[in-house]
Amino acid sequence: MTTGGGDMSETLLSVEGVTKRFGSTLAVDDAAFRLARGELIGIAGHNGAGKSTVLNVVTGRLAGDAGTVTLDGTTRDATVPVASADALGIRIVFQELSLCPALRVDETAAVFDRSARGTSWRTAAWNHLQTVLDEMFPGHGIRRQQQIRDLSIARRQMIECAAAMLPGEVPAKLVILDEPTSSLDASSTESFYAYLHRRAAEGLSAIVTTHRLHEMIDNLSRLYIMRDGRIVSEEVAATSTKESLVAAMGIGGHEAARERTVSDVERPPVPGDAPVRVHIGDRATGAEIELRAGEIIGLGGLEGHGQVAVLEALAKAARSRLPGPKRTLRQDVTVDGTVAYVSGDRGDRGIFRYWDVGQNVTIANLKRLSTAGFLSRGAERRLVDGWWPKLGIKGGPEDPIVSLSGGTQQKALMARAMAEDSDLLLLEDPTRGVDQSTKEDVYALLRRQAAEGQCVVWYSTENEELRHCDRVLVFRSNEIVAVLAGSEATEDAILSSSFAGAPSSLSGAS
Amino acid sequence: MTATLAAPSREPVLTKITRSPALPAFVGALVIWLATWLVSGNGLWGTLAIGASVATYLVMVGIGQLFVITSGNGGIDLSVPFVMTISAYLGSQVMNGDDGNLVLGLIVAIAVGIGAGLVNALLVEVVGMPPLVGTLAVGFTIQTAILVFSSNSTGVPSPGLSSFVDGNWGPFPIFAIFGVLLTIVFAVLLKRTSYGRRTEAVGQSATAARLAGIDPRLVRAAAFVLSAALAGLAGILLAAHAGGPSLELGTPFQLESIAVVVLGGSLIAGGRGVVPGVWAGAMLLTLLVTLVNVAHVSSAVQNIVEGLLIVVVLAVARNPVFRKS
Repeated sequence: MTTGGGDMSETLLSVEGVTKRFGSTLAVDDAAFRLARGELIGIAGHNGAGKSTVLNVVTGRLAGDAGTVTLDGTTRDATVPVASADALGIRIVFQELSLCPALRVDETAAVFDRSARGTSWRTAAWNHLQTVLDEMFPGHGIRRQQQIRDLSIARRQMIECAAAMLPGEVPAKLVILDEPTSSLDASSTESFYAYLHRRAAEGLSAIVTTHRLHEMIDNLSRLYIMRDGRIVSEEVAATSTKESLVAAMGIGGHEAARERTVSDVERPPVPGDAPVRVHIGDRATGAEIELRAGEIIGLGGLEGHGQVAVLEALAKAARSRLPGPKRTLRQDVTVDGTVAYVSGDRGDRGIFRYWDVGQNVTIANLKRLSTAGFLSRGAERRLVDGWWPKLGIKGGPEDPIVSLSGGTQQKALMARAMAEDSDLLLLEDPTRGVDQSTKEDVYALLRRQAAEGQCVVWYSTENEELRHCDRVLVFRSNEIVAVLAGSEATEDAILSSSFAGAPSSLSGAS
Repeated sequence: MTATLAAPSREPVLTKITRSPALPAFVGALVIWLATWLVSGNGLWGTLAIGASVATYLVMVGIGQLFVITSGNGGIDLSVPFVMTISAYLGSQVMNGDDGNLVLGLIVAIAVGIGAGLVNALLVEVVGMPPLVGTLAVGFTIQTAILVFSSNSTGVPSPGLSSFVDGNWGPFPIFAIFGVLLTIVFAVLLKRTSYGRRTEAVGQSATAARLAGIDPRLVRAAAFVLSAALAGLAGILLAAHAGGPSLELGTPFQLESIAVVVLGGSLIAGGRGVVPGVWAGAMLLTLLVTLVNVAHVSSAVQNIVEGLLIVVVLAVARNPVFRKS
């Protein structure tokens, strides 16, 4: 799958000596790299390593402090920002999804597609977008009349990826993709890179940054590794392994060691009569699944097949004052116990952007922190201080939440939910766009919560993560088509049951 | 990129003041206060005392409006002037100029407000109408009731209430002190109670609030009830000041109640409310009216000046160039 021979052909982009400071922080330090026409390269590094900053200087969205950028033979000074990267032939897909929620899909297409004019501008724009979408994500299921806010986060990401490939006034020479697949499942990711390779053969170049290291290894030709603002090494993807990249990115050896022992850690079984009782009854198959305290339950399968609906129904069932099961499309859900919810869609479903970190942590626990409705500052501070060391968050509780990186925000959201001390912890793809070391922190937190008797229900778009679970429920078309034990929950097993698993395979489970 | 800030110790008071979103409105109010004093020759304190007393009505409805706006979802309460007027009529009718009926009259005025607020909440949160339309519909319905009722209404507020809103306690106007106390109470409600915290949370992201176990509809419904209850109380108090209810009693408050919230530094889209800022906005608008009155300019000029001032204050408050600390 790797594009070889990039070095032989003509240079498209050459970056020399780019440096950028934010206050006292040296975000990018003398970065230099090059990219050939038709080559797909990656930039890897932790959150905060400087990946996004260097790319922002390259595209001219941000003025650097020094350096030059040569694109297609034209050299420009990196200290001067550029009004429109589009006009240079550069397209960008942002890490934080940036579509207007109130627009329809065809109207969104027109935002990206300036050529769509006249009375049938929606149709023209949609036709262009649909062509790309069909090729990039066959069977995407996006319709032109849908509003962006009604689409799942994965479909919104598909639209962003496809929109970057629309033919514009200046043909695209270079596409910059910042976590383009963070919400996509394995099959969409595969078809996305297949599309990228087809376009690369026509001469398009791309720079990808993602925390999904295996994606880079499988699909790109060369990788630049960034650490603390510097490009520390250049690797050939074909000869790299996840371990070698992790080592180059500077996660200490102990992190890697911890990761290996994860699945071997045996938690003591919690007795079945523990207080939390969760039933997921599948109306189609009649099967019932009971979740127990101290279990980590994974929800797997392709994205958008009913996993989030089950999570939301669990939350609703636990918080409802009316007794009786809550329904999703296919399941009846009953919960006996309390819940807390963590979403990986931090911007829309997680953070409160005008508040500091401390307020963001305490918001779900106001009842415990107040007497007669009045909040106790002391109790609030004690709660935050109690969680602070366990999370390893940089900075202090009085920093604005938006000043933190995505991974750090996610840790604060985890603290919010775990401080609730609920019977059930619901997680909606909590490691989306989060770097490897933060992921490891999240896994460790979850194991500790389960060991303390909490029942963890965890939806992930990364199948690889689900090996941390005791049992994995695989979803297809809103149905639970398989229940795999943690040891069986390999990526292959999950994928094969999410495509081929018949509902009957549920028998024998649970 | 990693903004590794050393945990800041408590912010210095001065920084807190210079970064307050209400600062431009307070400065504007101060400037107009001094200008009014120079033009009118009423004395520095007298100008302030009268202004504060009159501004308190606007502060009351502004605080209610602030809670509705801060709870987000395009929250706005356009029924405020109509609720004020009908409460003024019904409260006056019950009081009928007798101090013995004072408490009952106040209860009726507030109850009318609570009723209107519940209908607002029902239309917006259960029926699902946009707040702008739902509250305006309620307002128009009340308007009809006012027209029917006012034709044979004879009641006036009790004299005790009139001396409360117009009286002085030494050099201090009693009503302005009441207004300051009310502001403190609601500032505490917004910033120091669980309800206030939930209001700002829902205003920032209703979805995130829902997932954190908060029911956004209940929080927003409470804001509508609070706003209308304050409007009902302000209506009967204003009638006591004016010597009786009138058809146009509430009219100026419809847009001014919104203007003072935004001038005071609260976000119009919700999520962040600045209760003391309502005072700044209300003083600004009230003293401005006094200024143009004593300066004997035409009402056309008055409106131009008022509009320009709002633009200037908001431009200063919103423009990041001015907001660098």
